[in-house]
Amino acid sequence: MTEYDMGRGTGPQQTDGFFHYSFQRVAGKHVGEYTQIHVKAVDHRASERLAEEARRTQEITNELKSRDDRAKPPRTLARYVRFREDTGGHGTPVLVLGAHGIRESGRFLETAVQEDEVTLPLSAKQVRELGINLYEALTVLHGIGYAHGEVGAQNLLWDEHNAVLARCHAAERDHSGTERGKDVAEAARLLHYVATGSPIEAGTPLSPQAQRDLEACIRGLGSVVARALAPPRERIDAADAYRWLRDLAVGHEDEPGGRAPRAEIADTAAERREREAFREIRNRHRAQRRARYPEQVAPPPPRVQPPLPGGDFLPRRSLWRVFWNEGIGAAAREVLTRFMGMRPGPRALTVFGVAGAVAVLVLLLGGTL
Amino acid sequence: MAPTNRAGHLPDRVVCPYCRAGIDPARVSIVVRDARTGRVVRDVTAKMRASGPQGVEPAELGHTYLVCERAARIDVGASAPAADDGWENDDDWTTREASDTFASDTTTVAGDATVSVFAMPPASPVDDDEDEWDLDTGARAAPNPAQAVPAETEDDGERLPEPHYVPYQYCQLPDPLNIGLVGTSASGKSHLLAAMLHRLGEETQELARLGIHVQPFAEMWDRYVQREDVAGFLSPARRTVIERTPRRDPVEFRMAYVVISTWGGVQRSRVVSFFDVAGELFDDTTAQARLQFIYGLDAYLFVGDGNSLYGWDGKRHGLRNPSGFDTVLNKVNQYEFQQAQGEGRHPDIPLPKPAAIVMAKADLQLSQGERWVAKWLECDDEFNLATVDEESEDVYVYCATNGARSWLRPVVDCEDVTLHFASATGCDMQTRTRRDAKGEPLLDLNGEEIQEGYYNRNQFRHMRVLRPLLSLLAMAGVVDPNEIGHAHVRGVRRPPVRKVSG
Repeated sequence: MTEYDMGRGTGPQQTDGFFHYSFQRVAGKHVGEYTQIHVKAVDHRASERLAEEARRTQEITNELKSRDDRAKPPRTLARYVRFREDTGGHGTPVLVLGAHGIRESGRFLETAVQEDEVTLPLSAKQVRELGINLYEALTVLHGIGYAHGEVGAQNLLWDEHNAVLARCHAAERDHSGTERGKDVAEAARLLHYVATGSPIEAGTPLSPQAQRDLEACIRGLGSVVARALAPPRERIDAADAYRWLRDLAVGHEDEPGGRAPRAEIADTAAERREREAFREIRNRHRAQRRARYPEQVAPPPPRVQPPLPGGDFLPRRSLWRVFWNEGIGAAAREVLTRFMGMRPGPRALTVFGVAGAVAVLVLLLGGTL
Repeated sequence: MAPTNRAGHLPDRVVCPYCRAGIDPARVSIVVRDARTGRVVRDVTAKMRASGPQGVEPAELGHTYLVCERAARIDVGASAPAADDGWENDDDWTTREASDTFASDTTTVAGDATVSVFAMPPASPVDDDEDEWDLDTGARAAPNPAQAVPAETEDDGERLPEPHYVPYQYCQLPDPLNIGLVGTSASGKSHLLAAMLHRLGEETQELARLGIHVQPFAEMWDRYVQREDVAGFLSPARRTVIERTPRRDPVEFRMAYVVISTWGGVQRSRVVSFFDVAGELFDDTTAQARLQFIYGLDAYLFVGDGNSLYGWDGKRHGLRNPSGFDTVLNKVNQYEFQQAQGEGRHPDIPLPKPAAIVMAKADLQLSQGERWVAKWLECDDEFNLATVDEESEDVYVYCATNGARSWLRPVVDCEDVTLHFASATGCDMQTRTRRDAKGEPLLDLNGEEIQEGYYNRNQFRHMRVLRPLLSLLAMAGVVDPNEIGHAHVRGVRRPPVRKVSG
């Protein structure tokens, strides 16, 4: 039916020192196929942390469900499936998360990088997809009033195509919006990390060189990341970042400049006002120029009279037409030329004409006599 | 249009690009100057009148100049404002006395131009009526070569040198396009111009696609690129800083080209010249005579220093320095108004001249994370002029919302304007100690090490420097205005529409 192990089979394993992770592809009754992430704590302290994480994840999932029960679960945000608690030391607590956006080959990005399963920097296309997925997840999460609190490569599932944000152990309700802003900035730092392979220090604005590096990856990415790392008052929100990242296009190396068109960032009110002012001035000047220099059409080039076709191309006139137009002499010349191949000159023509006239006269006189 | 074959093989009237006086080609002296020192070597007036350009050696043709002196001018004071009225530079008291005697006498020659008799040289002894003018043609006899080269006034940095010299090649073609770079001191005009001219020579293929072929004045180009600072700036191995343009630098073209445009199916040739003077002249009221040329400019390239948008703390607080644009625009507007009043017509508002505003050193804004700058400066669309209007909007918005509104005055004052981000170097200047060939530091007179500016060779790049020039050429009709989506440009005629039968 599918290429994935649908039931009891255990997928790839991963560990980060606190938890063991295993991945399975399963088919849910109402939600279709998705990847289950089994998070198992390795010790007692990790168990407590896992239980807390399970509680918060369940709370978020229930909140999402309560908004729209019939809606599909978000593809880019891991949801709570179940949690098996530690029962008197005989079992290990296991948190099962559901991720619809990735395949079974997914990994936690940070661990994959440390184990050399993923090589940074990612390609431009992967960076773009990762950014879109990340900010989409944050948009969903922030939309219900929660902040993730620990956005980073250690909490991001990645299958080389798509990303899913998981591990909400630090998530909490954020009424002021401060924590949500931090999420946006953390996500921007993560984008810089995967796009360049080097992390940037938290709490610092994007350096010009870093912005250029990002622009070299995808045109426009530097601007988006810079605005996501701006001071809190000027910082964009996750929805804006999601929308702008979706508008970015990945260029091909064989394109002129190797870059793609830049995403448009919406004007502020002041910028919009100035833009309108400029357009008004430009239109006014255009109208003035139209009055000053009415469009003049250059005179057409002189028409060259086509040469008349030569005599060879004209239909030959009938003898009657020649006689009618030009008289007996021309008709006689035409007779000689046409039927006898002669080209008589005026003198010969005169002689011929006189001889003809004499002959006609003789005939007429002979008949009379 | 081919060069005319009138007397001296020149058009019937030439306007001096420096003092704006009309020059009568029938009376002007033509001289050959030394390429190195600029001194007059010999007078070739007679030969040039007799044979045109064949009157001198081909190698000398590039060093041949028309002498713009008082005797050759036909409308001193008529086309130029009062700063050069023919008296300010006159140290000859004898002539002044003579002129006082004939203060009301004028005579008309060469059409309608009115010539003051004060400007006439002493009458020739062989002249019958002793008025120096040919009765048939109205032209003056060829001057004596010994008298042709007048004594030069000392260049004090404030007045226009008298006489001054106009390249013969410049005068051969009518309707030149004089472009002036306007901006305060250290705003980046010279660097921008050097980068622009360098790219102009490199991008012949792209220019041909736009329908133009540029051909520099060869000797002028040689002199320009052989300047030590320009050569260092353009050399990939050095990338040194161009020295600040001295205030006493002669007011001459920095460079001139013959631009042959072929778009529209018609071939036209125009001279395009560039003026680049010291920025402080724009703010100095004592040196206005040297700024005569601004009244005759056909297009303006306003250069704003992108670095002046920021304070030392890196935060925006508007412009640190005045732009210098107001000085020029005020004067030109006033001149236009006075001309209109004199001619009994309404003044042209806005000014009937195109302009391009360039925010130079824009790489510094890029390093400050300005998204407007990043949007355009790294685009590889220098020759895609269809986006010029879009870029202009963004530059306008950026300047208007960041305290640089004084840079935007040309947008209102000139009839057609485009705005651009550009950087001639792509990186900021650094300094180091200048050393000799042995590696020893060079010392100045005070015994201190001489510092020189340079640019990081790996980061050095010209960023969008040609785009403002191409936009300006399009607005002046040298390049097809449709390339930038503009219409109704002076002197541009739309080619006739061909009717296709069937």
